[in-house]
Amino acid sequence: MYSISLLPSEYKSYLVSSRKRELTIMILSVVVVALVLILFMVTLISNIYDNGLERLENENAVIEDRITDYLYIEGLKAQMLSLEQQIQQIGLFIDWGSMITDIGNSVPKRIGLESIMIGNSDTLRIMIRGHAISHEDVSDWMLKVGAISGLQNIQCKSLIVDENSGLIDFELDIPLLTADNTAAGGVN
Amino acid sequence: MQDKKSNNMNIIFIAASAVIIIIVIVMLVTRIMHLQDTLKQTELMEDTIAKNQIRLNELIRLSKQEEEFKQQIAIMDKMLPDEPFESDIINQAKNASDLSDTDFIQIDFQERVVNNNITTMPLSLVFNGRYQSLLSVIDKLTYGDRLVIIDEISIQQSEDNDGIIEASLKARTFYR
Repeated sequence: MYSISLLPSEYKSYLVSSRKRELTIMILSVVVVALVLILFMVTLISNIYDNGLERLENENAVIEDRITDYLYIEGLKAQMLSLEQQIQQIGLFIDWGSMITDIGNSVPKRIGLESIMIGNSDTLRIMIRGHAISHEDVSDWMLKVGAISGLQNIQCKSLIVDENSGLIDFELDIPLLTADNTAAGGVN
Repeated sequence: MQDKKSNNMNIIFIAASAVIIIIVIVMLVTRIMHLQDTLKQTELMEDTIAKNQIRLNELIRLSKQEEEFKQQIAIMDKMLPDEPFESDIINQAKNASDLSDTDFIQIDFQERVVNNNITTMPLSLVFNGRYQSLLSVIDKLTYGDRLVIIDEISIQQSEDNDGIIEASLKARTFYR
């Protein structure tokens, strides 16, 4: 009923420690193999991503080469924009030609123009001198001129009857600039 | 004796295993860090490629407008040349006068003014002709190759009253 070991106690403890060492060696071996396997897998995955990155870098290099080929167009556009900006910097100008045409076309037969002066030396204005057969002709024409775009603010500077000819000499002053310093019309 | 030798071998094996484990762990950590770095770089590279692709597409789109850009530059280069080229202005006035059937009487160049790297060349011009012809001259001067801004116009009827009028212009032209 009882198991009685007749082995000496030194031998027993030797057997126990020997089993412990074997177990430790086995565990260590498993750990080493497992770690090496993990290292292998990680290296494999890392290499796949390295290759992917290299492929992307090559792809980017090709795109950058193509960009370099087309860079001249940016220079061309910059040159064009710079010139455009310089021209804009010079400022707006007024289409005098069409303004004078409009004035000329509005002149009735009963009115003769002697001079038209347009200038912006101090303020942008048109000065018109002429003669008419009657006062009504002048006032009618002033209404016509006032209908032209940008020429709304007509001032009659003088209206004198020439005693020799009997004609009415007149002088009109038309300021073109509005208060905010923008041209009243016909600006390019 | 045999046991002692076996015991020593076991200790060496354990020590060697421990060293191998440490080395493998260090390598593993290094690899994982490298992998993380690669992933980050891949993400950045994908972003860079996307941006570069957009830029390339934009440049290709712009390159289709190359001729238009060149034409615009040529036109603006004539409008605002890099030298005074007074002869061009004289020719422009003469051509405008000839095409409009007027007499080109006078041109004076005044003192130049430099402002913001652009030199202004004030000039005055005198033309004789009929009313409509003078309007045509003004139009051709304004919309000629060279940028000419007319500041003042004085239209005066001749004393002979023969329909011929004199137009005196004060204008500015420019160069870079």
